[in-house]
Amino acid sequence: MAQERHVDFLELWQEKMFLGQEFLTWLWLSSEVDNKFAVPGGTEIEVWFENSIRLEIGQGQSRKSVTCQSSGQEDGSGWAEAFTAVWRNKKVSNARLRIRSDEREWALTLPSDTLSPKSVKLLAGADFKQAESGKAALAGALLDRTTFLVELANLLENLLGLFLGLRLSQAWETEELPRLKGWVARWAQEGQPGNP
Amino acid sequence: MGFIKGMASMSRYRLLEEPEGGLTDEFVQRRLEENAFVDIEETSEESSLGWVQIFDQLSSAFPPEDWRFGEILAFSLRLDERKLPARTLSRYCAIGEARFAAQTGHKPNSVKKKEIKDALRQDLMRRSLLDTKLLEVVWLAENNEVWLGATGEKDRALFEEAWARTFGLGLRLLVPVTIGQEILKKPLLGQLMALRNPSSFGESE
Repeated sequence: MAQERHVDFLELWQEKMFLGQEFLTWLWLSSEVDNKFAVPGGTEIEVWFENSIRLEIGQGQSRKSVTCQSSGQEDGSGWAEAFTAVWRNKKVSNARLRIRSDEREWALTLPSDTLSPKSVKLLAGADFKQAESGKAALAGALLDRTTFLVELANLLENLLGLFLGLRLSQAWETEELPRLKGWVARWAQEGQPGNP
Repeated sequence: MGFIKGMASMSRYRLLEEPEGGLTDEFVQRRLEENAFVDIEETSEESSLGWVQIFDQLSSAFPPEDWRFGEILAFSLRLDERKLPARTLSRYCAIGEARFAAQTGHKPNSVKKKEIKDALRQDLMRRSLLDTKLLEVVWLAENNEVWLGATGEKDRALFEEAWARTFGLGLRLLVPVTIGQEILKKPLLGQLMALRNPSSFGESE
């Protein structure tokens, strides 16, 4: 029973593996265009991608990937190589990004297959401090960190929910995808941002 | 790296079932103790995998005050491993076989060779250093969620095997599609399950 359930999960995960890459690609392009995301409940989330993005196309032995570094320009031109890769149908498979909501700001790495946050740092809004020795201090640090990580997990779920809502709507094919494609095309073909 | 110090990484799991008698301290304590880490420092065992306290990797005792922190349960999975390079073993075997030949005046047959090899393996294993890995685990009882403080595939497999053996409770890794299943309502949920074709953000393929 448990084994069957696990096999079903693996099949489903494999079948829908593209969702994570689409989500990260959408999140990156949207963050370059809009920067801010309004999620249900009135929360506003700011997202920006830091200095390195890995993009991929294909699976297994036919997989091709490229890692692009941002040269740091604020108008997005630092990502010229990455925009070109997207134009050639690669999608984001791993990236270092920052997320800000209310007074909290996080830095984290997200792989597209699991969206499991890696190397998470809390940069603002609370003290993600090193635990002192002593059981009470360690327990306090564990509880604080768990609370912050629950908040981060909720923010990521909100962003994924926003993406899936769009992805599964008619507006995906008629509005959102053409809007982002047009933006990528102008970057890739003309080397400058167009009107989103 | 994890939930107490340094940068944090986590794999999220949904707990799919509860223990038959509910999630009691007795249940957790008994299961942790039954699957506690066993020290192999003074043995020739190759590896040992089991639970230790989250704040003390040397302790395999589990009074609730050392793993229950309100609605959060926390402990660590400890793996001690010693590796014996095949080249090292075969060099020592050659020496052992030569010594046998010098002492007896004839080469060892296959049975004797195996005997020499087994004895040397045991001796070398006992003398080789142990490598220790710790994987922190946090169980959010109110949310039916379990976190592993690592994201690698091997670490996840190690944890999943230990979790199943210890608690016998089903877990499902939270990945984009399973998170989607949890947060979407009908009819979007049905559309998610029916979705087959990836979109392209670039020139037509």
